[in-house]
Amino acid sequence: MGCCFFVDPKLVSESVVIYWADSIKSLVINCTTYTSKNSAECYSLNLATLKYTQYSVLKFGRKKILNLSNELGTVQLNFDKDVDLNKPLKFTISISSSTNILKQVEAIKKLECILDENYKMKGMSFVVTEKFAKPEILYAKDFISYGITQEDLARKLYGDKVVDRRWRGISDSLRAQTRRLIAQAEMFVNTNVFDFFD
Amino acid sequence: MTLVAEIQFLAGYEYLRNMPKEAWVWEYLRRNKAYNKAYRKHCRLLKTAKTSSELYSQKEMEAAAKFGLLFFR
Repeated sequence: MGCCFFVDPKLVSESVVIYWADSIKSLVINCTTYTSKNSAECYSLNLATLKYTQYSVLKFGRKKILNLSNELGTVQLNFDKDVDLNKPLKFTISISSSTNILKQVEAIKKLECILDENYKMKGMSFVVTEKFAKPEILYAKDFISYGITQEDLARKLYGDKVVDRRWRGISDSLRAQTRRLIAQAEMFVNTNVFDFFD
Repeated sequence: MTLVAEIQFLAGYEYLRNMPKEAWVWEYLRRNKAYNKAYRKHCRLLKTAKTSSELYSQKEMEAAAKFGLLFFR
């Protein structure tokens, strides 16, 4: 077992490899290595042939965890044993719970795209469309955390001209817009991680 | 340097537009007070722990699992 189960919250998403708990079914897939010659129904993995995929490997007790990611996203393969990932291997996937079967399917689809690497040709693209995927929300959170005023935040976001004209005007719309952004930031920061994946 | 100057400009957050969902989740999680508190507790435990037993690691894993994490490195 490793000794580090948390990462420093100061690290940004660009610089961390995230290993997810089993419970995040849309990302984590339990895999069993397959040694039989009859391997038609198995997945094949050869890390050497994946040109556009970044990966990270972790030995975890007697198991091995492989984190694969490219512009489509991430999947985490939890292998049943300490497999040698320097060699091509075949594996099967186990679906652990019927209650999360759709999430598991989502992860498996992503895995298939990652292993295929031809998803671009198939017209697949990666765009996060959820409400929380807006840089200005995080920016608002950080800005306000420093104790700086909402008006100053608005100046950064919308520019001085707009704020000079509208901040102290009769209409409340710009102030409301700014407050809404801050409220969204608070809400998402306090959202249970599992809810992001539902 | 003033506090304002220390904060990155909005442009510094733009890279996130091309990041997958899980990156966004981490960005929110790392700003979460409960996670920060758990992380600090974890750091304190690491400093005081003389040995890293399986049981101790299991406790850490259970704590991390509350945030959907196996762990990070």
